[in-house]
Amino acid sequence: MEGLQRYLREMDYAIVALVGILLAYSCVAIAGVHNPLMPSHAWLKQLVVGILGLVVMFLTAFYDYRLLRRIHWWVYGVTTVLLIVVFAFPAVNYAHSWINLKVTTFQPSEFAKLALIISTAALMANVDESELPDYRLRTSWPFWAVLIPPFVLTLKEPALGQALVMVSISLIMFTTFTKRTWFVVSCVVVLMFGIVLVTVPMFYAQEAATFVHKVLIPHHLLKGYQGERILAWLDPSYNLSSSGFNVHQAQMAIGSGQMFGEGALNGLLSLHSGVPNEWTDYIFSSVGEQFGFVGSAGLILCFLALIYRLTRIARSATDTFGLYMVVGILGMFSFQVFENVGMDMYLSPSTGITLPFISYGGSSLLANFIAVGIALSVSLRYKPLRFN
Amino acid sequence: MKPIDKREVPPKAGRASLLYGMIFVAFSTLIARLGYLQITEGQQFHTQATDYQYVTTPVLPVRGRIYDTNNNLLAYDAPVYNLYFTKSSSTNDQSMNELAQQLSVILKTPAKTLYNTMKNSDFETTLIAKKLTESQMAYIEEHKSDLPGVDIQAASQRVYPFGDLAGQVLGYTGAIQPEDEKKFDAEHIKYLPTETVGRTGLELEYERELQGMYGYELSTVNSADGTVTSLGFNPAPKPGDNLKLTLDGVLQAEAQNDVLSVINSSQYKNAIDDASAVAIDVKTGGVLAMVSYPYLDPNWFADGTSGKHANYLKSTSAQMNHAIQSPMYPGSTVKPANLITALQLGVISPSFAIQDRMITYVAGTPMSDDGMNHGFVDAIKAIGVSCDTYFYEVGLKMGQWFGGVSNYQQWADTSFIKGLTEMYQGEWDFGLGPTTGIDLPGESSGIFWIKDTSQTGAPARHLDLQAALTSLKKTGQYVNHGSPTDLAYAGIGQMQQFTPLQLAQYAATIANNGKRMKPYVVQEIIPQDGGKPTVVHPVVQNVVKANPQYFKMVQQGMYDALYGPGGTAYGVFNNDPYKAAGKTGTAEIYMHGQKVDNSVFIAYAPYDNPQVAVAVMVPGAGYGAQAAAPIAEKMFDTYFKEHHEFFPKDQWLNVQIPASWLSSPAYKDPESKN
Repeated sequence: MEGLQRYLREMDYAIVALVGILLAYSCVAIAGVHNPLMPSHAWLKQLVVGILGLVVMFLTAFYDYRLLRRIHWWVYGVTTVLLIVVFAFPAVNYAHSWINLKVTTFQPSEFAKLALIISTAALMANVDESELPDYRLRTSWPFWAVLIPPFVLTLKEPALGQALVMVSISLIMFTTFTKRTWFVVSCVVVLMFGIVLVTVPMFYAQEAATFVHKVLIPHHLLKGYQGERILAWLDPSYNLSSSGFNVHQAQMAIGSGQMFGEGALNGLLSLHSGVPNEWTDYIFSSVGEQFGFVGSAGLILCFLALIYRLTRIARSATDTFGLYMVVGILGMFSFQVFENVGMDMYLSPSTGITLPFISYGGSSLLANFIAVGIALSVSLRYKPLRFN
Repeated sequence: MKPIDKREVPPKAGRASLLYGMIFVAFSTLIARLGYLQITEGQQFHTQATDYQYVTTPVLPVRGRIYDTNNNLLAYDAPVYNLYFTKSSSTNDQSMNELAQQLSVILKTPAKTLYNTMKNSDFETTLIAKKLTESQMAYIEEHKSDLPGVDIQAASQRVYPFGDLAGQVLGYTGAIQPEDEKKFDAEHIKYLPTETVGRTGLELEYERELQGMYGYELSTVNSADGTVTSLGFNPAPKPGDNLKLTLDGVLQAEAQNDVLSVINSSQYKNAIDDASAVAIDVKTGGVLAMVSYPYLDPNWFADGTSGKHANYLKSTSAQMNHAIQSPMYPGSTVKPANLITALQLGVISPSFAIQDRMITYVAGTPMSDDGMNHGFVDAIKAIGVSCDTYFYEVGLKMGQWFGGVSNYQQWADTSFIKGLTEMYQGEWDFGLGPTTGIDLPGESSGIFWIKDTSQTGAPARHLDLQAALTSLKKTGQYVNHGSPTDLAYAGIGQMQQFTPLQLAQYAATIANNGKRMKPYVVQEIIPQDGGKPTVVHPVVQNVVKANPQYFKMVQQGMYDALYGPGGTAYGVFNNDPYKAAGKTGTAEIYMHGQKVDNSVFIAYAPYDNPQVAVAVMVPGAGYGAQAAAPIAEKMFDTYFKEHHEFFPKDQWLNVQIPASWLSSPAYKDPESKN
């Protein structure tokens, strides 16, 4: 009992409050969308799963994360098998991403990301704790070996977005793990990537579009619709009636919010199905339209605050296993937020990535709460328990 | 390197801070971009968003097309344009009257009718004309400003370009009914209330595949000038899957004409109500042709002209698919199955033979051999000449009736019923009796009869074959009031009723030496979005276990029926370049209160290496060789001419359904009747 009281006393309530705010954002954002294809009472379902998620988050926090190291192969194995099982179920929207359990559907790739974080952290921590830690690049292959099965299976669904999140998780964790040389190199690579992302659409849009048309699509380096998305990103007026439509509408919805927005449940486009898939991948446009710059920048600041608190936990973790896990989790959140919000505003090509805690969908929401729960578990064990 | 001291802050913590720094920068660019969009450009986006009114309209999917095995298009959705009138606040009697006057000439409809349609409608928007012609559309577009509230809208109409070709197999579609919803809900198909769904035939059986999924179109309406701009689909409607049939359109077309011409030249023409013919691929079970007369043109239900043919539809059985829905007495066509069963059970030996007599007395009832005396008859000759006496004997032997028994009821409950059910079970194994499981709705199973001698007049009753078999297995008896004549009549096919499809499957099973293939009509389901087609694979339903020698004997007998001296269909096939094997059937039936013959024929060809099996039934048309056999012969001719076998090159047929079909009697027949 003493332990539980201490946990409750020392819980990071800033994080609890932040996820609570995110859940509230989510429900209002979903409630503000009207679309004939949306499940009925979507916001209510999101709230119920969210409350369940909070409970699961606390339970995960009380669970000693160090025990995960003993069972991490099991977790990894089960989620990988589930990623194979999805192919036995009929495709929804042309992708085999869901397992249909009759009463509800279940998306294993959301949990596979967590399993990847746990197993990679365990492997990295093993190196740190060995007699003679070996940080050479050539001995880092196990980290990439655990990435490949979930990555390939998810790519095959096809869910390119989820697969990219997995890659970014592994890269971010590796950056924290590796020697100083490789750390500097990867920082430079990220910087260059950022520069490319900004300069290409601004100065070389025409050339890049030609490259996609003449090289990437004809040589099957990209699937047709993937090429179309890049073209739409390069040229906001590209193919507005089909592939360019979604982002065009999303940006218009965000922009029309202006400083303070149209007000809760009062979006111009959101209430008339103006943005396709707005309740899932394009949920940020609903926030932008309803709450304007104040509300949507506020949402990004909430994410930034959450990631700041997670960074603090990573810094104060008692072992590197905990540190790597929390870095993996905050890396996953950051990548998803940046990509999801960025694609609505032509900052990056669109992919099917959810906005953590905000997008409608039970599997994604639950997995995010578990991730935060793991981080809380790490924070609660920064020093040994005192015994009376 | 020194081992890590766990009590210290891990040396990697600094990296986490640096990482956070980078994330901070990235998120700042998001906020900067937000600021640009919402504050700098916000006014412009807001105007864009408010200037337009967003309208979401449901868009129906294009129904899948149906092709025959050679890619002749048998059914498709054609775009049509309909005219609608929408009432507004300025609509009044006078304005509607003026509209009606103006539209009446171009629509060729009395102004009064148009006026009443507009005025009496309970809906805001009313359909006032269907299927506009190009000139009508041009006129309406030109005079749009003088025609307030009048609007042309696109829709689609099912078209069956070959009319009544395989009409009952294809089926037709109709508007969704409230009672359909429950049924489709149970199958997890989502529908809009304006949708068209399959009502009969393949259109019904493959509704799920053909339907596709509706989508929504998002359009903007400019509030200033009212122009509508389509923005795109969300999501796009998903077109239904196309079906490729095993059906051969050329064979079907020729067979429909063959059936009609035999009926029209029959001496019993006026007594014939219906007829059917089925051809199936011996190796796969794929249905090549399925004819059901009277013919039905599914277009009547699509274009709304069924009212014109109301009397025809009501007074004939054109809406039935007789090939799968009308079990009839098969007559002597069951003899091959019965012979194999009796041989396999050891009831008779392969050398069993009789000296024919014209009349056989069974328990005092005289039974004729159809007025014939075949002389000395062995097993093979019994099939070829279709000797009834031989099969009376076979039937009676199966029930162990040798002229009389000491305890009649005990015999009836044991030996008799055992023999009768064994014979029926033998037929069942060949596909006679059970539903074949073909992919068409409403298939009937066969019927097995047994007399009830406990009642006056000994009426015939349905025999529950499975109940009898179960009881015999458990207790060794099954109480019944059958008569020894049941055995004799069952032996010649007067106690059973089977559908033409079952008979065709049976003929194919004989040709296949006992391997029974499941009949099917759809061979491929092809998604329109380029997805992988689902290919239907042939299914073996069971294998009749019998000595191959017995199959040889039956096949020889069926060959002799066509080419041997005294063969019941001798002469029909003699001039053909291929060799076939067949069996006639002439069952006694009652139609319109008259005792008439059901003309039945089963056959397969070529005799040496069977490819195709057929069954034809024309109730009321006389002997099997009179009506049914010539139809079967013509179907084989067409099949081999189309497959470029046996016939000389100048007689070969193309796989495209010929344009001449549209002027042939079978095409015109239903259209001429109202």
